[in-house]
Amino acid sequence: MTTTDTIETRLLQALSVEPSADGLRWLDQRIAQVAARPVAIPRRGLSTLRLFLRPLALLAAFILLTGAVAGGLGLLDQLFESSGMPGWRVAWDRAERLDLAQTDTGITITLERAYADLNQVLVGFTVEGLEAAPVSGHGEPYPIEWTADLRDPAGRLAQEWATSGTGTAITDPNLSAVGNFWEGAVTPVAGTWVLTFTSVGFNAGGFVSGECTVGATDPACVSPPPSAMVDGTWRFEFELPAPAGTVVTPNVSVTQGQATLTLTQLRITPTMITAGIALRVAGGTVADWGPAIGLGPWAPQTISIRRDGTEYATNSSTHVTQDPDAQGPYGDVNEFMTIAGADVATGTWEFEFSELRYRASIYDPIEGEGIHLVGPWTLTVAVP
Amino acid sequence: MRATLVEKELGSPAQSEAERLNPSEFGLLYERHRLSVYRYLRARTHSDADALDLTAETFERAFTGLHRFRLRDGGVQAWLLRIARNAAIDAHRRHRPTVDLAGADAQLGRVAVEADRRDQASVEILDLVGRLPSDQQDALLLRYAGGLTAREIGFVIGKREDAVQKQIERGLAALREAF
Repeated sequence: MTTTDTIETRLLQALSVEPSADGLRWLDQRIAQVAARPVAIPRRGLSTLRLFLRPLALLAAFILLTGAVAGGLGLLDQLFESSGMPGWRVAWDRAERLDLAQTDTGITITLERAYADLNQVLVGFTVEGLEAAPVSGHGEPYPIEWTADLRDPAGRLAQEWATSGTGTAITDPNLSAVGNFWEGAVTPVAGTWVLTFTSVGFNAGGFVSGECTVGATDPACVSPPPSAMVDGTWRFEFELPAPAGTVVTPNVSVTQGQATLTLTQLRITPTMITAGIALRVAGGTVADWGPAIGLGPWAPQTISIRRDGTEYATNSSTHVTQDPDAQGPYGDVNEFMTIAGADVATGTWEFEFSELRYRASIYDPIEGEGIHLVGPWTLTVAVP
Repeated sequence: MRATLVEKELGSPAQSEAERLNPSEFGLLYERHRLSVYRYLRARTHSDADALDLTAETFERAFTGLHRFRLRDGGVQAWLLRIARNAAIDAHRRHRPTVDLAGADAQLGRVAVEADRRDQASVEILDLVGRLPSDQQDALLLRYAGGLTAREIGFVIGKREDAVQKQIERGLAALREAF
């Protein structure tokens, strides 16, 4: 079967529809919440949930750039403008301008801007000199990929403090623009950050997306495009001011039935609100937990973060205490993150869960989706 | 050595684990397949909202049923599209009393009615696809909206690869003749 046939081409074009931006945002958030349910295998320290947002940014950016070639900074501006993430936009707008370039193996990485607050670090950079991105089995170019180590002013690698990481990127024929975020408890001091890239490129696995299974005979599966990742060293040092934000550790609790929720930490920054919340069940073990999700479209959310009546949408969470034996007195801790932040921390913050699910063991099967608890639980803390 | 979808998505796990999907990697699985699932469901529903709803339902079902995935059943994308197809059929059954349709086949052509983002050629070809026999529609949608091979489609709809290939070719021939 060929895909060069006119009818096939027309059919492909007719069926190549994109969801609306609002709908896609809803879908991403919904699936992020689904994936935050208790699962049979504990999540990794570096959550992949935030990766849900990358396709949205890519999609929007490609739409904006149709027929236009923009410079590096303009490309990054458009990337953040179209991300649908208010916090990311704030980070980009307030980032320090660096304009540092390094070239290795014919590839130039330019560090355009960097930003840090007490919730996350952003580095915006561009990549020039890569071969054109190979095209996947679906006719779409592979996204750019990169490997980088970030060391903070205290000398800690990101793996030591970041609970999750994500990136958003866009590629045109000559230039790629990337926003790389590290999320977690950022060191609260000004100083020198060191960022070292060790590879960059496309199609890290030499893999044809979506088409290939064992025994597949399509030529693209038999001879997939080779990995186009390029190894090298691109090292940058840059100064950032002391990260903005407020951290409080209220340890306020609320009990409903056998379940007690405790707000262990609250990080309020201009780009994100992060709430560390622990679940303890009397007479039981909590190995993993999350807000319960309703079925069907536009289902009511079962978690709400608000301050003085203003709602802050959450889009991901990270499981902090992976080992039940290492839990503190408040139980199993998740960090819930919002897509927007606040410049001012003062006010009365409320965190409400209407329903929860938890598993007593990480080895419990998935099909039951854990133990269902009905609340509500409302945690309230006044930040002076 | 040729990489498989599962190997790529799960970061080249040990051979003994390659036939299982890891819940911690669900985000990557969703990221890779959401558009093809959406496109397939968009072609089977009346609206963007319905397609998004069913796409969400598909990935919810997939997440809760990760342990049921077996590589030998056609691979990840075929598995997801089988779930999506079942979700679409279930939704059609649920909505039957309130939707004026002669059958599931009639849904397809309705996509063309929403011509806001499509050119006339797309409207016409989708109208034509909507008039094909249901097995040909199924095969064409799974191939051109879902991005599956004939062999993978066979796993989804329970037919042999050569039978699927014939349905695709017959469907395309009918479209060529009518277009």
